[in-house]
Amino acid sequence: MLRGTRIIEGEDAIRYNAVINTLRGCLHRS
Amino acid sequence: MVPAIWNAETFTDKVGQENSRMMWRFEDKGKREVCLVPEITGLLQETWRESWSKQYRTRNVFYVAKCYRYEKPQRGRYREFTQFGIEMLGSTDTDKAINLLIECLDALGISYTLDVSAKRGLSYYNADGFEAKVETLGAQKQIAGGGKYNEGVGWALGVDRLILI
Repeated sequence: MLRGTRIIEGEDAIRYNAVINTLRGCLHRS
Repeated sequence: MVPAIWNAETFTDKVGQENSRMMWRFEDKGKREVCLVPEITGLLQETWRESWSKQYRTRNVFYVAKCYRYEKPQRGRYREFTQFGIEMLGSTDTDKAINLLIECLDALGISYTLDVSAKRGLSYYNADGFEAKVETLGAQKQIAGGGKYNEGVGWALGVDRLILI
């Protein structure tokens, strides 16, 4: 893997998707 | 959804001298100077000027995009990172953009401070910008930034930092 890149997995991956879903939901409500 | 690869020229004038040095820039097989996108606002500004402004009076867009900057990696700063952003092209309504950012940050349930007269590093901003910070993140505490530019107003959030909170 190249320096400064990473595989986002496990809890981080769940949080990553949750954050994006929350933000998307917020925009759709606005 | 936006491409990860774009003409380097779009960003070399706009991302500021410091960020220009951070670009993943190379020549493709057709001898074109291209780059991995260091940010998204610049390419949407160009798309607005060249195309969308001829079809729309205003256009609101959002994106979730991988961006690339050749910086020194550390906690909360990676060479490949994700930005969630909005651009209100053809608009000058900074207050609306800030309110939308506040709504989004509040929806995440995080504690943050918002500076609405921040000096932004990117040269396309034509007024003071705004930045959100989370103090507990330490060195990489800025989680969002935005402002008004000639083509509109917008902001972006750093998703990689949000998942550290």
